[in-house]
Amino acid sequence: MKNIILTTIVLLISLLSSINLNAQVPGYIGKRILLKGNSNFTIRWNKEYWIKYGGSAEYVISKDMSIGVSYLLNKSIIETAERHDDFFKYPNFILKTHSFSIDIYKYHNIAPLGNFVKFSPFFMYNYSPDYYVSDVPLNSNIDIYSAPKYNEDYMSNTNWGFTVFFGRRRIVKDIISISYGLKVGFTWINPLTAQIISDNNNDTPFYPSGNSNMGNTYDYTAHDNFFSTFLSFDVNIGFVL
Amino acid sequence: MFFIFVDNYYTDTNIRIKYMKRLFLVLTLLIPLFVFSQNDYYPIQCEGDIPREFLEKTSVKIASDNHKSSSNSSISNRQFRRFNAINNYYVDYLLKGGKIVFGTDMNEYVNKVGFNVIDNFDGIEREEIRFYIVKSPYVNAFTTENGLIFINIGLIAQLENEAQLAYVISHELVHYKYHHSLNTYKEKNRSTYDRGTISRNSSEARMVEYSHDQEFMADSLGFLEAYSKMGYDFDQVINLFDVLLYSNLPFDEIEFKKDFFNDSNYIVDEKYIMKEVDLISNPEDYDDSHSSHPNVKKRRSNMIDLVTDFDSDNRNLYLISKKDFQKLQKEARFEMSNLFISNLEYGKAFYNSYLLLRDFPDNKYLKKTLTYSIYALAKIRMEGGLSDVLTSYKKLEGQSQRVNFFFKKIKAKNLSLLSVKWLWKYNMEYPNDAYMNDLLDDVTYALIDRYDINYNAFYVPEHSISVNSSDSSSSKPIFKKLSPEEYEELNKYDKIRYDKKFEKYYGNAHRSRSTIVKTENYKRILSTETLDENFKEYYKGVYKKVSNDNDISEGETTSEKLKIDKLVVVNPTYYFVKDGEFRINNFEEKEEIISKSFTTLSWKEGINTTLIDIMKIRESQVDKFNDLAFMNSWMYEFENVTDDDGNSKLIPWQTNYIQGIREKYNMRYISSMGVIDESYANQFSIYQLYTVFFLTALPSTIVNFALNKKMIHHFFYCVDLNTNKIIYFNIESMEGKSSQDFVNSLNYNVVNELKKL
Repeated sequence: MKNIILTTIVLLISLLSSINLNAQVPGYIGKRILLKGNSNFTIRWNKEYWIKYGGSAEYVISKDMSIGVSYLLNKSIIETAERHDDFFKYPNFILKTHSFSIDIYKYHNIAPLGNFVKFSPFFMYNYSPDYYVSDVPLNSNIDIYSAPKYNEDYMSNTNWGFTVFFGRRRIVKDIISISYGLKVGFTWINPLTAQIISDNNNDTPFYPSGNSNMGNTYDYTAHDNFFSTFLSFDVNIGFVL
Repeated sequence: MFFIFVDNYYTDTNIRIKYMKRLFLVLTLLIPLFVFSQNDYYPIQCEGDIPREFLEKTSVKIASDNHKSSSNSSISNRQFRRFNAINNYYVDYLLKGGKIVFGTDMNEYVNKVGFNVIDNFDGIEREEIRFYIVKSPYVNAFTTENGLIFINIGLIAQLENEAQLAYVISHELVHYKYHHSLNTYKEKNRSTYDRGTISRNSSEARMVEYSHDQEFMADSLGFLEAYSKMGYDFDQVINLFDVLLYSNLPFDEIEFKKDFFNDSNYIVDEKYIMKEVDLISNPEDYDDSHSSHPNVKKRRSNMIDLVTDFDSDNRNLYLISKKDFQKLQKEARFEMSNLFISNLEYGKAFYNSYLLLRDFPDNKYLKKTLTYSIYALAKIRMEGGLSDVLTSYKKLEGQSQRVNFFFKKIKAKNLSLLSVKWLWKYNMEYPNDAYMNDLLDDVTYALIDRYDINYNAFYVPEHSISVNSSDSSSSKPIFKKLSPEEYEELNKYDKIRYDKKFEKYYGNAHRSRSTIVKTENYKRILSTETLDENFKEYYKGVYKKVSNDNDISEGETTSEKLKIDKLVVVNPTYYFVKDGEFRINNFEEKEEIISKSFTTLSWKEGINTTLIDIMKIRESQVDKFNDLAFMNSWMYEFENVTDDDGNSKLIPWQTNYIQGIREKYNMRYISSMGVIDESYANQFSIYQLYTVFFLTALPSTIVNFALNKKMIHHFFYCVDLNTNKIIYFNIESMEGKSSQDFVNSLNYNVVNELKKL
């Protein structure tokens, strides 16, 4: 993971250094900074859908290019029949996914207006507030007739990938930015790769340890991350400063 | 063929009368502003107050016309509205584009003749009609549905007398009275009106074409309903058709003398001189199929049948004023040289000035236009593209054929030297003409740069004589005639010297036997000028400059910043094109948005932008109107002499006059800009099938199919008047339309680029 981040930073620095930052950049009538609220919508044929929210910032670095950072939060309810412990069954759990990306925008003509393509390598952090992955009971579990209490070691894992966004931006009253478009993406840990990892590495930290028998969280997050990213519709509204 | 269009634009008769009274007052009180004397001439300019119809918005005119009921009940409301849009659009293009002359002596005279015809024409009142003169060299006149009658300067220059002008007006009034333009529109169902071009620069002749029947009707009714009632000579009707028939030929037929370019040291090669020109065909044999007035032969024949029934005794050529007509004709003929050059018809300009110089041998303007024509032809011969500016001599008859033959056959190098010669001659006579000095510098530089002709290559008459004269004390130089073998032994410079001496003793008949004269006659072109020490110094100076410039490698070119802080933008334009067809829409609003955006953004960035736009001009600001007309015309010329890389092939003729405007506005940079909105149907793409699998993409694909694809094209160029070069040229196309954000972004991009220069 660190390697990927490092590589991205090196790429960005080399990109920036290749651009003469002293050259006057038109931007939108001289404005080069954009702050935006993002929303992202994905739907599949089996009626699964995801709505993500977040924000992003963008800075125009040349006539037709800009760079930026984005954040998106996805909250999913993962349904599962097999998840249970010794006392309860848990039919679903909440999965929160935080995505952080570095965005490189290439506009067809003059940034930040009109059609553009955005390439965004991203890092995902998956976390569940109600999915304990530890089966170690708390020391205070003295009453054997009560439900055991476990250490609150919630499920979490990471993922990464990239998206390519084909979008279009309009600017209203010289200040309000509205962009929309289609985003296609790919996660490195997806249903296919998760299966391969699962087959080869049963002892990876992505699987619950001990005897909790709570299923394979890796499968759930890989599925959710991939299909919420693969193809989506994206709308951003913000300000041009 | 005279033309059309019509409509009554002023609904209120009182307003019309008031307007016309005011116009008359202005016309009668005006002091002519243009300079026209025996020794000089300044291109024609408008005078007095600007008529209201020049300043009124096209959209207002269209709306006003739409509220009137059509006189032609068979035309649908939709067609009528469409007709009004097209009619007003093109008429306003003429009025606002600076091509129209008003308020001059010429207008006054045409008005007098025209109103006299109207007074004899039943069913038309004076107030309905306005006469305007069009700055066009083409032999034409046309009428609009609104009652505007346009008469080209090209036609006036060719007319022989007032009677012919009166008949032209009679003819046009028939078109107006019988709504020929509206009827033609209805019959052609707009097919010829609004297709095939996205340019507002189209010739006025394209506005509409009358049917043959309408032309015959205008010919005969014009004669019967008006012309025959006046005292004009009936024969002039037939003579007018001869004018139309030969409209492609110059206004006169005078021999282009083969020794025109000769002087004591240079004789033009015989091979450049056409020995026998084709005689001009008589009217019966004249092939008018390629004429700008096809069908004239038949019309002429019809009118002969009609006119011969009338007795032409005691008829006059002039009812208003012979003197005024002659003045009008003379001005028109002078103006023709300017118009031909502005239209890049340098061969015609040359011959026009040549013809006029016979009567006005000391006229500076004529010498200037003639010299400029040689310069322009020389530069274009060097750069290529002669066929665009010179009609093939094979298509001509008469003496102009010899002119075009000469410019076609002469070598580019020789023509360039001739251009240097004539410019030098002109500058010796008028040393304070900075513009012509620039032309001299330009062509001399180009000549040396291209052909590397060193000063020593020229045959210097005095020098050769002194060198070869072995006995300078002898009062009678000795000349020994060489045998052909001895002659061949000489080196080429000695051959030149020998030839010159031979000529002195035996005349120039020997030239045909001298191969050196045939092949290297160019060395003699500037021989006379080499006697002038100033020329020697000048030429050597330019040669040195060319050598120095060539020594500087491309990488060493200096990049001094221009620091543009002041800019003049002329008439931003807007077009809307749908499915490849030019459409008339709310272009005025769009032009205003574009202009306002550009001005605001450039001011914000410290560029003081002055917008020259007719809609900002007030009625009394005729000087601004003239400036705008010049700028428009100059830009049109400039664009046409500039290649795809933005390099000007030559210094435009009208740069001569733009300099005055430049000083007035204190400007160095002048720009033109425009926006085109293009809309066309989306094409189905195989990639759109992905929506079958991904529902998310479906709305976008549906919207894509439902809506047309829209593109906005933005163009801009800026010329540095110091160097006559385009310093910035940009065309940017974006998917979108001319909404505020796209216009702002495209404009700002240009402003930003200008700041970088």
